[in-house]
Amino acid sequence: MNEVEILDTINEIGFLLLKHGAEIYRVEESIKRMCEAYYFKDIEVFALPTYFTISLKLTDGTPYHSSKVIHSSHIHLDHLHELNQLVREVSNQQLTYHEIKDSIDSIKNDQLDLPLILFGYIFSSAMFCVFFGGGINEMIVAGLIGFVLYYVVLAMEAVAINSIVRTMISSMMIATLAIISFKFGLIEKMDATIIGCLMILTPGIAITNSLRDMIGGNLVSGTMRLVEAILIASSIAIGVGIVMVIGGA
Amino acid sequence: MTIFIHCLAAFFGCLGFSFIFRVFKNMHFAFIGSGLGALGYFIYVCLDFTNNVYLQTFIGMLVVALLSEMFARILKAPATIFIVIGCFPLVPGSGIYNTMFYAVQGYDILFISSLLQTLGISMSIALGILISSTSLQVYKRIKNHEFEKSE
Repeated sequence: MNEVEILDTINEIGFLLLKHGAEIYRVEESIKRMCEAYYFKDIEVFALPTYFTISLKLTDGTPYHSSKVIHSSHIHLDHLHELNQLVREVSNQQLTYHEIKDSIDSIKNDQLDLPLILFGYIFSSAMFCVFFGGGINEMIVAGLIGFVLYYVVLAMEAVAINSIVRTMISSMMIATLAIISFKFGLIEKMDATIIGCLMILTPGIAITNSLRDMIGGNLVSGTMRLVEAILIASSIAIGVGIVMVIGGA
Repeated sequence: MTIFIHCLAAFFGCLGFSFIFRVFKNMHFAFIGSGLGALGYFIYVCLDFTNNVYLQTFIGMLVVALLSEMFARILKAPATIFIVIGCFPLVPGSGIYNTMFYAVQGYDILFISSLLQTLGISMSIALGILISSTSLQVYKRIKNHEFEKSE
């Protein structure tokens, strides 16, 4: 078994972990444990939300170093769980090189279930509208806004607009549609409709991950994600605010 | 009755979120996470008599995070999955909206107070996650007898 080939797969696992929204300490610890399982020495791993580097010595003493940059990341909880299992199996040396390679390929080639995501957008915005005090009419309008929001987000992800502008445009769109349907008398509680749809944009993941990074001792990564959370929250507020000023709500 | 409807709405809302966060195969994670979200909101409502939003949010989030860590140990899955889904009913979405609404309307005092309240609620959520994760970490160390030598 070639050691460099094994290291390539370990790099790949680390890359996928970071890409799918794992915490920094999980990435660092996973890579370290996998390397230890193959008897490499002097293992040092350092990770940031967009980057990680591994340096170690192979069993014959040759130094090895590699680093990877993650350009775009998107949370994917299913893959996070599968990768976690894969890491545990690799650390216990239960798998051969080809089995590891196959599992990585199956994770990489996994297709997104887009209809289910669309359903999630509609369902969660409608339900959170009820949660914040909306009635039947508000629920239906919020579901429709969720439906439109899905395609708007999809289109903006396709042209790779950065997340701050994306959040701002999405929240502007939500507020515009809600104000229009309010002016036409379709809904009575405009606030419940807007808040219910806004919940999709709120930075819950960024806050959670940033806190868990800080607990793990990665203050730099924690701060990076906290700033991201604050920026996203303020861009939501700015987006809604602009439309409210124009729409005169 | 209203509480029941709200809890139900929180459950299904969280279920929708788990699809947005790409839980397609492990549906039991989605259901557990949503159940925790609804439970967190139920605790939040039950503590209404304290008249303290921060305390309500903090205890709700603490329970959600502790149970998430427990389920993570049982099901051998990352705790993030459950916390990310379960935290949503407590996230101050209405706070962000109200802050903006008052700012646009020109009610300066209400604006500042709701801004501070939103920040306070966020911090309560943070504190809940912080305490639960740290205590679980310490518990794991004590259980495995991994004591660090003082330097």
